Amino acid sequence: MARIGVFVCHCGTNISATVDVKKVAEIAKGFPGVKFTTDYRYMCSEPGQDLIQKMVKEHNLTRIVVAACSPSLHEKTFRTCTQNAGLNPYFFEMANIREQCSWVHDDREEATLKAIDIVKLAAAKVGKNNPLQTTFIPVEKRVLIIGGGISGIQAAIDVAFNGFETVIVEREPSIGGRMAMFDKTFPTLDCAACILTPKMVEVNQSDLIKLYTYSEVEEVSGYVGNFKVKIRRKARLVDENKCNGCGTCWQRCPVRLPSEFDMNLGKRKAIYVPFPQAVPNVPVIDQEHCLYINKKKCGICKKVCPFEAIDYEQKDEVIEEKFGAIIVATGFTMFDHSIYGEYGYGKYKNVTTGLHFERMLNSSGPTGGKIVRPSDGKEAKKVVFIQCVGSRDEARGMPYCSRLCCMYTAKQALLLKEHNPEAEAYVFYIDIRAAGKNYEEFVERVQDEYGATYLRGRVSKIFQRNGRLMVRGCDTLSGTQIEIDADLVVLATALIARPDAIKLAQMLHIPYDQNRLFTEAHPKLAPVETVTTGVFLTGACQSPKDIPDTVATASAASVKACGLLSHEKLPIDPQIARVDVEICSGCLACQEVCPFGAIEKEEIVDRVTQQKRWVAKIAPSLCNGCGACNTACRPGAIDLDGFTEEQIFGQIESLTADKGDER
Amino acid sequence: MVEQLRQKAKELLKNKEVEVIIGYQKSNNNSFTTPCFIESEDGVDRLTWDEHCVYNLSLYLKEVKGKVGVVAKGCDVKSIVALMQENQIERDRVKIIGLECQMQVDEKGQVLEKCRTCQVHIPGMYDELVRSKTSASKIESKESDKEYSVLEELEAKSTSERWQFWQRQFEKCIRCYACRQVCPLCYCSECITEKSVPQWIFPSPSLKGNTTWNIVRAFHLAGRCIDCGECERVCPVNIPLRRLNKKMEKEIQTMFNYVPGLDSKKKPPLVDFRVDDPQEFIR
Ligand SMILES: Cc1cc2nc3c(=O)[nH]c(=O)nc-3n(C[C@H](O)[C@H](O)[C@H](O)COP(=O)(O)OP(=O)(O)OC[C@H]3O[C@@H](n4cnc5c(N)ncnc54)[C@H](O)[C@@H]3O)c2cc1C
Ligand code: SF4
Ligand code: SF4
Ligand code: SF4
Ligand code: SF4
Ligand code: SF4
Repeated sequence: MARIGVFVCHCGTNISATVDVKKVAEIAKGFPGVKFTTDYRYMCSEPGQDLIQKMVKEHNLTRIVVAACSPSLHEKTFRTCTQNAGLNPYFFEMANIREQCSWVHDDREEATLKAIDIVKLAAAKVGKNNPLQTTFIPVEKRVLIIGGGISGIQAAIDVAFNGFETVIVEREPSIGGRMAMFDKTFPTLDCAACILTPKMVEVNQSDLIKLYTYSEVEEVSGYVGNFKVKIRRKARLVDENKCNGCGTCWQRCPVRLPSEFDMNLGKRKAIYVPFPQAVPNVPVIDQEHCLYINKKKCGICKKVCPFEAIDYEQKDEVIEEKFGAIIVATGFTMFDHSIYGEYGYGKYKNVTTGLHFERMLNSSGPTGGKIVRPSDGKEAKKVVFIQCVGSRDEARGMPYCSRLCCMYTAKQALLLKEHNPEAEAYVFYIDIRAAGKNYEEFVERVQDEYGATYLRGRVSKIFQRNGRLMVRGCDTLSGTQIEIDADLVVLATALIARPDAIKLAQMLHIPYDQNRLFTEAHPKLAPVETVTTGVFLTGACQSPKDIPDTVATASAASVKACGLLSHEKLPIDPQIARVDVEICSGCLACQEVCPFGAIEKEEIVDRVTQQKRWVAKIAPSLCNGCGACNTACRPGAIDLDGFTEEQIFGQIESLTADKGDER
Repeated sequence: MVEQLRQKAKELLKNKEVEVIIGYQKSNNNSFTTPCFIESEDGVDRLTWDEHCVYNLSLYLKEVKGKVGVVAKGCDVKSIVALMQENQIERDRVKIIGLECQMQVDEKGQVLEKCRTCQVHIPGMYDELVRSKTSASKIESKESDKEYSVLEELEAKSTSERWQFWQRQFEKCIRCYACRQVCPLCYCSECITEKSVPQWIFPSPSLKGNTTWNIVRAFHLAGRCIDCGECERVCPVNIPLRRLNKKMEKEIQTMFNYVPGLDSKKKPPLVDFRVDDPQEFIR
């Protein structure tokens, strides 16, 4: 018979203010199997834990219940404490009387009664706990990084620096991400290429970093330490090993197309590298538009390539590799402003976005660094910037603040003035959020030194008059209506999750929020982890981040990943599902519902009939103990260690004992 | 039809395509049929076929090992499909001799309730098909649009009236488990009601235990019961089990647009998990 000890925590006054902890401890004395109870100010403190260990010895306790906070906070603490007291760590249960009781109730008497019931449940369960043993799995010492923007690049460099192999899977033909599109970066105004390209080159040259560009992750299975990942390497139609990036092919290709990298402001060919510093410096053939692929005509690139690198027959290739940890660095995309009637539904050519403007500022961009009107290519002198387009707009856009639009708008206004001191910059804003190091000073400087006109207010309408764009808005500070005839309007559109974010999240079993941004395991204490152990987040795929924050999270995520890889083997939670093959009918309903693919079928010889039959088999390393299979199994062949039917049943019985048997 | 049936059975046995054929034979009093297992060509003359062939013979498929032929009506084939969906039998092991039915009758000669609204007089899947001259599909399927009409009376009642109705019914249950025994989808080697650690369902007849039992069985059959009506037929105390299962069928159809036993490639909705199923509430 189990000898249970119940330890009730005050949590300072977090619990004791609402719950009569002394009464809880007193009444718990009468629960079946309970041999000792007490209350204490902070159970998780060292003296608190010492108390548990001392009482285990003194009263020969074999099971522990701690009535305190949520198991997500201190279950581990007390498991270890239980183990240190010489008991199996799973001979412990946590009764959550804080989050599920004291914090959510006011009535002291009622809350105390509820706390008593919660403790009763835990005591009933712990009495039926089985000893469980932790098992270990070996670790694959490689990291997969999905996305090769600045965050993926930084993460790869950091992981390699720690001596581990890493693979970057980048969807586009080159790594670099959004940062590669910029001219200069706030708040220091250093040239984006000057600080980014050395890192891109480092990635390319490192022996420990493998680059799969023009590739995508297709399937992820496995678990921390042992992820199995299928990667589709899309056919470039150019042999990466032969091509040396001489450019003969794309100079001669006759097909001219709008360049996505240049936000369609410039042109590229059907065979192209997205930008001159691309890594790898190997072109791809755009199969949708290539004349040879579509009409079996042309074939010029193949003829002119001095290295015979063009291979029209190349096919997509799906490879499978193993990784111990995964870093997600897929970045962001821009909000589509065409839903806004007041900004012209995306109809006006001269109403552009911040990214368009970045390309125009860039001296190697489509305009050679000149700020022009896309409609006629003439120099733009009067530029109106509008902040918060799609941000902070619960009804039509995103509810959140995109955090960096204030800053990049200020940067762009400044650079406009630098490129052309005659130009006029107007900035419509709701308020300025410049809460980074040297950020506020930067925005001040743009106004004071560079003379950008900041107008606090919303733009109510953009329309055309006599061939010019008219921007009508209000300046709430002076209380006046304003109309500006602009050459160019630049919308600071919100940074949002990529359209395929949910698909990736489901592949990786990581949660996302209502805005489709990936969710960290804890907003404060585990900001780069996810609830799926071994999968980490960095950069703008998690929330809008500027480059400093992106790089910081990249380094943080790499530390976490390398930490995992520094172990030879990892423990796996023994609280997982178990099949009783005697009862199993082999219907495989469990396999169907298991979200982790942890169940396979296995042939056994029936003990009674001596006939072969199929049953379900669970892979301990894949099972997350979610219990989905448990509920799908009709005859009750599956049990979940740590949450066995007997334990749950014991709990129900403990509450209904005085109410008669309902079976 | 009987001749054709015997012919097909004979060929299957002769060509060694099957080792045994499960079919119907006349019972002693001649107005009734019982299941029979035929292993040799000479035995096929025992096979019979008429409106009294009510049993769902797919019940025996799991037990009989090796290559097997089975005589099956449209409704029976639905359970074969369901058994295949659930890994209980392999398609290539079973030869289905499908029979176009002619509306089956009970002992009193009354057309069965299920047959009146049935829509699969010709089986949805078969290896051999024996057509009927007086096919039921021609005679009468006028009521096929009234699939759920048996539920009307009960659905008109209030929740508490319905509860009382079922309580009166379950009160009668003697826990003989005939319903389970005859159910092609209650194939579990050990039923949840036999589980004693912990004991979810109180085993001896009592209103509460009976209620739990009947509700659990109904839930286990939700989205799986193919409406062969066998449980109701065998229940010694005449509990209208078909109404219970039919109601579940209707709920599943409205919620998931799924009818059991029609497509062996599909999965019953309650044992299906799809990542592209946007359950917005669990993220
Ligand atoms: C107009 C504008 C101006 C800015 N100016 C500045 C500035 O001056 N200073 C500053 O600090 N910050 C600036 N920022 C912010 C900066 O862009 C981000 O901080 C940075 O790009 C985030 O990097 P990232 O790697 O997280 O994402 P990204 O740059 O978006 O990179 C993500 C990469 O992942 C790839 N990818 C996406 N999905 C997949 C997938 N499923 N499989 C494989 N690969 C995938 C993408 O192709 C991309 O290469 C600006 C942002 C904007 C919009
Ligand atoms: S074959 Fe295609 S990619 Fe090559 S030059 Fe011709 S159009 Fe361009
Ligand atoms: S659901 Fe239950 S009976 Fe069916 S295969 Fe899985 S464990 Fe076996
Ligand atoms: S508890 Fe069952 S459903 Fe959940 S992960 Fe484990 S095997 Fe899969
Ligand atoms: S056949 Fe009828 S009496 Fe027997 S267990 Fe089933 S419902 Fe109860
Ligand atoms: S009632 Fe449920 S557990 Fe019992 S045999 Fe039928 S399906 Fe299996």
